[in-house]
Amino acid sequence: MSEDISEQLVSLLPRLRRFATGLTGSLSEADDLVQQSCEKALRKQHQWQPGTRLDSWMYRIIQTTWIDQTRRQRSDTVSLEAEEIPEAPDRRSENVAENNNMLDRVSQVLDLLPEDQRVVMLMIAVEGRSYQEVSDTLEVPKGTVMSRLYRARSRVQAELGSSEGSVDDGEIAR
Amino acid sequence: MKDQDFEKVMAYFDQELDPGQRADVEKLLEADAEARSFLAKLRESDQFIAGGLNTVLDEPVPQHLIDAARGQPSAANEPMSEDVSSGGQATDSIVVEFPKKPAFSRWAYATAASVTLLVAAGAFLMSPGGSPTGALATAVSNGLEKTASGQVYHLPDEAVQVMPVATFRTAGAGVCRQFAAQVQDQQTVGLACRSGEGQWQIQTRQTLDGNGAGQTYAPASGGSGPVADKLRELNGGQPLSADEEQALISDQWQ
Repeated sequence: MSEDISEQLVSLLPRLRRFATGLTGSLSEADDLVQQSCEKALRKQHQWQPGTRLDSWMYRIIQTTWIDQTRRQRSDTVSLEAEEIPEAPDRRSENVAENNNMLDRVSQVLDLLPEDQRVVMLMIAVEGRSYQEVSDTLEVPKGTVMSRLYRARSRVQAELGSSEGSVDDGEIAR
Repeated sequence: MKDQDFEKVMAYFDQELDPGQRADVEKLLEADAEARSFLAKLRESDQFIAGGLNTVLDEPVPQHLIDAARGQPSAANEPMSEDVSSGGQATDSIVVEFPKKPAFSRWAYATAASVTLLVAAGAFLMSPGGSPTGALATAVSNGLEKTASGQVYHLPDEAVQVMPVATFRTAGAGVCRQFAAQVQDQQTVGLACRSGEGQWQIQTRQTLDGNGAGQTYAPASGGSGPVADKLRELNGGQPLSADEEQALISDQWQ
């Protein structure tokens, strides 16, 4: 079983790095996070139920590991369940002028999202999970998943609109 | 559009609707420009995010990540491996293997770089035969909390170094760690156990003569001396593996 999960983990690495990059905002931080998460997963693999999605389990481990890290780095604590979470400082503000490539732009926008919204956005918009899968993985109600997703997309859309200098018809507002 | 229509269009976009609900939304999209614009913006935002992050998939995966996924820490990230090999054990083992020979050379190596600091430091006060106080107790408590066996912890501003040697589960006092400490030129070995309040409390310790230090680095279980005696008294077992120990450190000893 150890070998099976290891090889599955190896095959998942590109997607785990993508997910972690979305969380952390940089590939180097993502690699550190994925490495820690893989090590944790191997230690706790008895908790993974064969037949369930290993990738979803890994997303959860990555998320909780990331939250643990960021909580340790901040003097204040944030509530996972709070819908209105104070925004973290822009980790990349010093590099904004240089960050012109696609990934950096995406990272800048994702950094504006509270962590709980960011995770839902990544799992659905990038990883293609269903609302129910995300609900099960994050252990929050499906309605909460939809609410977070809606807020995340609204914020992303607002940023895209403002960065392009215009907000045309049909502005998302509710 | 009504509020629930935004929700329906989003669920339509995410392919979360059954055929009947999809037909309803498609009618809405035909009739309502705002619904169409909303749908287009959903697509735009998702494509922006996914498009940027998908570039990560084109990046080669570093070997150290592959090693980590296979449970094979690479040499660059596994400082224990050198120590393990010096003890004659397989380098790909992830289990802590305590040196078969006296490991004082390792301790000496670890402290060599800080010899100037040690010489320059002020005297560490320890009452003869009394309970350890001050810097040693602090270094032991801090060092045992986060340092893997075989690695050296030192207080930032103190000439006190602590090296955990082994970790044990005991029936009498929960998790305990055998340690070696160096204060100036004085070496101490001991056993400390973690209290419910998260403090490492020294259960026993022994100050060594310099020429007798080597014998103290074997795992205490089954051996002799005050540490081994204390372990037996607490019904401690064999040393935990590196994985088990690291798991406890990561989980803050829970």
